[in-house]
Amino acid sequence: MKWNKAGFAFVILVSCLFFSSASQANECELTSYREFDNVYVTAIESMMTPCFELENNTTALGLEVKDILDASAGDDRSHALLALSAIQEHLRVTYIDRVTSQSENAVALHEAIRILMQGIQQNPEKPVKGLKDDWKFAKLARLPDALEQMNFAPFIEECSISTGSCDNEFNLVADIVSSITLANAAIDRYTENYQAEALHVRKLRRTSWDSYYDDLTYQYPWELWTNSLLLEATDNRALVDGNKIGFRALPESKLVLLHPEVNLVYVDNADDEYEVTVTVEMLGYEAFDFDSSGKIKNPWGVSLLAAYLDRTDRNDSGWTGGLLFKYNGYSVGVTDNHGDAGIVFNFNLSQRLFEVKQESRRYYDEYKGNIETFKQSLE
Amino acid sequence: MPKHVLFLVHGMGDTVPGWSTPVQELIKQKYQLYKISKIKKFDNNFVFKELNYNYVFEGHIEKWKENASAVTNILEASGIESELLSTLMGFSSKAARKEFASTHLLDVVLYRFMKGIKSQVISHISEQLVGKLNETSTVPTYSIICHSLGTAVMHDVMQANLTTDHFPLSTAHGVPEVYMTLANVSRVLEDADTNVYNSAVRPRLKDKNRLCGCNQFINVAHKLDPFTMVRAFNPAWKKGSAKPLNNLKYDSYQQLSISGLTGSNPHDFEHYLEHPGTHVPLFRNLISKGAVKDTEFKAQLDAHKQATVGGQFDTVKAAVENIQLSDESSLSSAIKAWTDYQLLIKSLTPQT
Repeated sequence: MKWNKAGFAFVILVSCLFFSSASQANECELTSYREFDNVYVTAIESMMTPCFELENNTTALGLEVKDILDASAGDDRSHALLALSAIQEHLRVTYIDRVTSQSENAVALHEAIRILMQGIQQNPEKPVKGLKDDWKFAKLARLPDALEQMNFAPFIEECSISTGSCDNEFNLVADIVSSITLANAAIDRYTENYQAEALHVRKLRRTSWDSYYDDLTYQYPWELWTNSLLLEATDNRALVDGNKIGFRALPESKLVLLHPEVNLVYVDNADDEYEVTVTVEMLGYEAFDFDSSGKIKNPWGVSLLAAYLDRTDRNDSGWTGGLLFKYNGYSVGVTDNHGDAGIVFNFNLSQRLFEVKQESRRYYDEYKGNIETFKQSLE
Repeated sequence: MPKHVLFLVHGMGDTVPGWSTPVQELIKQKYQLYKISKIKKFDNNFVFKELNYNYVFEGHIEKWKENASAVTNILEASGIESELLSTLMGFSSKAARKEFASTHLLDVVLYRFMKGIKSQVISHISEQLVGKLNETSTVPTYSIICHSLGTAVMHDVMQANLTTDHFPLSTAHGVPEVYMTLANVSRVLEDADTNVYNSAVRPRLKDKNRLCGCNQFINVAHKLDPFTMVRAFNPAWKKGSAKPLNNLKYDSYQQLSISGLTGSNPHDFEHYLEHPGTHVPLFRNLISKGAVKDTEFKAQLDAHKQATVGGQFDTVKAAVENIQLSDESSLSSAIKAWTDYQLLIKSLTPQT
């Protein structure tokens, strides 16, 4: 064994207790890290990080950052900028103005923080709904780059051979990791305002897509295909390096194509005032908005209609054409009923307008399950 | 400090909430094989969160079945015979036809060709992802492990999120720490809107002006997995991969290939993770290069090799060897081959 495990563990134990009096053992595990060897030492950075989280960090810089972030005056944006400035200043005084084994790392970290601050300064104080500039904001996610570029070789080498420099190297590395962790805490404080808004816009978007499929006339596979083409044709997102930017905009309209439905046709001189019939919307158009909860509102549409009229009082039953108008889940159509005007209603509207007679009721009851299923897709 | 969140994303299949429990148990069980588990306890440091999207596909397919049969019954009762309607109804029924549906390749077709359904799936996963990241007061470090169709779904989710409004970005947590794809089919499902090699979902590369979508990208393909034979995911990122100065981590992109069968389905999520060639790089990238020693890795590789000896899965091997797929095969020929493959695997799997 080239180096003294017990001695190294002691340094870590003392350092952790010093830096992290409030830390919990199950998170800041360096206190139990007694089996270091020259392989596991490479895990030091990931294991050290929990010890320097804001709530655990009792270094002078940690306390200063905490005070800045918790100050009552100012907003989260200004707090984040002030805290990052303090971290930069600490790096400058401790490592950049004088040469240490961690100076190179400190310069990289200082530069990463400068880029972060620039990003915050360019972004608005508070989240803005529908912010279009977040493509740039995404570039804030740069600190991991800096962390990955940290060169802890002197620490690893010194501690692998257990020289007197090990303690010193450990403290320097711990301070760099602490600075990174505090910078993350500062930027977290700024971006946490975005978290709730980020979830809110995603909930709305998901609700709207669900409503598009659940609350409008349901789409058969060939209609899904047709509307997929429509969505593609109306997609005006920018294409960058072969990829569309952001989420697809919500649709504002859809097409209806060869769409069979069960409807009711009004027959004023028959025993029953209406009969069940099958209609096919040959081609139709539906438009709609979304309300503040993301649900479809005010859908309306018009379709070219083919209806099968099977009149019990006539012997020339067959297909006839017409127009179907829709609004908010109700449909009414006008067809040519063998020379007379035929009125087609969907189930919802028929129930509102007519008294359901005995014979028709039996007929409906017979197909109640099917109609109910069908109705669900129409309502 | 919030624990490191490991998102698990399923592929095609009959998944329901809770589907990831065996996957979680397997990962934990594998972690226990290595000495690092005594020092860095898994449950103290990592937490799993599963993402689900299968119910979106199921909802559409069920609706077709229900409505197609409702209209068909009315047609029959009314004595109406219309070739047009019968054809339409037949197509609808066919789309949900049991055997084909049981392979869940219809999910792949729907996702690739139906833009609205694709957007619906993306919006569901995006909400789940951000919602779960928001469960703690500060956004946790997170990683993503996705499988099969889930690799295409997650690519599209992350591409949209990273290039749009209000993604919960922060310095350390804006992008996944480790982005692991198993049986990556994102390239074969590319459309006119997507180029997976040039999207935001890329590891750190030398070109600092380019956005990075994750810190470490690990792609694993099994040699006997027919889903990785067509338009295989194999970017030239290795050359441009950022090399860490500190020697703690690996290059930002790792292309891994595994072989050997310990189960009947080389495409299976757990079959991938069972292999030390998958889970050791995962642990090393989640923690550090030294988290699993080379001697430990070698011992597990040897044990895995022993477990695959015996040729009890000759049927699968022979079937895969007979699959005539190449990198240039069309999606339709791939879907046909994958359907046959899925049905074969289904026939070999004991039904519960």
